[in-house]
Amino acid sequence: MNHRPSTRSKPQPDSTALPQSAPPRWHRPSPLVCIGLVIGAAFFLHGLWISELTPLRILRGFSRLWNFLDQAIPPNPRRLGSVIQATLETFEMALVGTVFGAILSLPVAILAAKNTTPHPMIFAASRSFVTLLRVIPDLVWGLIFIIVVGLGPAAGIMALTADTMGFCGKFFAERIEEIEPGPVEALRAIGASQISIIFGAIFPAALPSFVASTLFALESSVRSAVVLGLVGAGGIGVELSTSMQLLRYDEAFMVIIVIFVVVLLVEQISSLIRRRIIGNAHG
Amino acid sequence: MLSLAVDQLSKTYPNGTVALNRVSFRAHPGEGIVLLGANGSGKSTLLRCMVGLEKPSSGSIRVGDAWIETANANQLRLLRRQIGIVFQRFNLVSSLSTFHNVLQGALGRSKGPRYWFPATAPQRERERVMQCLERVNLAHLAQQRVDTLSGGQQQRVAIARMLMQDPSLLLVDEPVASLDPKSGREAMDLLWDIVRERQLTVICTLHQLDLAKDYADRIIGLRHGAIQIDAPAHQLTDHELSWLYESSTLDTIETPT
Ligand SMILES: Nc1ncnc2c1ncn2[C@@H]1O[C@H](COP(=O)(O)OP(=O)(O)OP(=O)(O)O)[C@@H](O)[C@H]1O
Ligand SMILES: [Mg+2]
Repeated sequence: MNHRPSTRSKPQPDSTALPQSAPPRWHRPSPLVCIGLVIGAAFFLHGLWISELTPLRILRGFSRLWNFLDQAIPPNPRRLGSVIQATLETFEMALVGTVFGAILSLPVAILAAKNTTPHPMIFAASRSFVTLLRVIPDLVWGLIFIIVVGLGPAAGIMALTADTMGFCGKFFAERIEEIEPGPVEALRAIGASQISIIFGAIFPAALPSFVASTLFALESSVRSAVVLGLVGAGGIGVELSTSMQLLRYDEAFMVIIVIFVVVLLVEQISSLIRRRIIGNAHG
Repeated sequence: MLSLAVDQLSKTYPNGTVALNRVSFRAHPGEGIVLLGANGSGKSTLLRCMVGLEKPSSGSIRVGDAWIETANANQLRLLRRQIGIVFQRFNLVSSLSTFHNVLQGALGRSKGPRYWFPATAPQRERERVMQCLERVNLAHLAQQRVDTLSGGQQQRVAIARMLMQDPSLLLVDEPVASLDPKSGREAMDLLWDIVRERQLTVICTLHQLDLAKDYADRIIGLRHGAIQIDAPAHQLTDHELSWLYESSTLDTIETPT
């Protein structure tokens, strides 16, 4: 029954039975929420317990950190040339992996978007494929591809391609689903083939968003590429792990500084471009 | 010029809305038909069924000597090439240039990636695009992004795209709904000039009785998805036409979806 808001002082006949009152301050949480909270708390406490993260350990850790910094400063630029070369390799790994991943994401996204998929079964299959690529962490992909193609940047590139497809496949497909149906219908009514519609109406509408997502993936790939090097998939990570294992902290610190500069640079440039693109798309 | 025969056409949407109820009429080649009816009376649904964007629940639509509702994907593409449609909301690809949008009118008749981009389109087609744009007086805005144009200009781009398609049967859905009265007249004049010079068969939905009577050879009136009026335009009085809109807001309460 509708309650019409009324300014009259006389109470409405049907509102006398139920006096209006403010909503209760406190709702009893549902049993499901209670169980969830208890389980979450249990994991949290157990996690604290097994890590033995005591204040004493943290305090002692600080003194070791001091030890590390003492040896690391000043950073040693002796191998700066090869460090920069390896950093470049890391960046290039990220770039190639991201570009491959983004390009391969295009057909996958077409199959994985509700409005362009040729068949519900293909939709389900390609969505699952993208999810699979995404839920397996990049480091695990790296280890798998090292088995496939051996140590080196090739494995890193393949891992980053898989990682980027997991990300871009999902975002591209979601963007395609958001496209307004009007222009697509107009081309369909003209008699255009599905592939012409994809190139004529769908890609033009989605392109700015595709580029923005790809740049975002590139930023994440550059960070991943550093870590992938630690397991032997090429690039600066290899240098870092060598210096660390040989306890040459001053060289390691130099590597960390170079990584910091490169990652920051990539992020800044990428977000600048993204802002441009999104600005243009709306202006 | 293409003949059109709609026979006992009904359309019920999956949510139970009966949009069309046993609609039958025949359009003769070169005839100019205006479709009238209140909001929700099924005009757009009828036009969408005719290009196969909506599948009828029952009944048949014959265009030339082919049946739309039983055509397979390939036959449907061939049929659609001959049927131009101008939508109420223009339905242009907003991030592309005027030129590119008009070029897309050729996508039905020409396969292959050359036609996807203005840069790779054959010279002959590029010249045709400019002719179509000149016909609607928009050649000077060919390079402009289409979403920077005014509503009236976008409508003319949609008309140019239709010219590029070069159909024999033309369907127009409320061409003047988002235009001011003067631009509305201009758009109707332009459309009807084109219709007459190319001798197109045209079905055009309108909400303006005066425009309907000025331009139509024949008026078809829909009410609750059924044809209630079908007569030559000059035989109809305002009174008969306004009956189409009477109290229809009371008994066609739209069900929320
Ligand atoms: N996709 C859809 N799903 C369900 N119902 C729909 C759909 N499209 C239209 N309808 C319903 O079908 C009926 C006819 O709609 P239609 O758009 O054909 O009317 P119209 O005559 O074009 O109206 P208007 O003058 O407002 O454009 C309406 O009741 C509408 O709500
Ligand atoms: Mg309509």
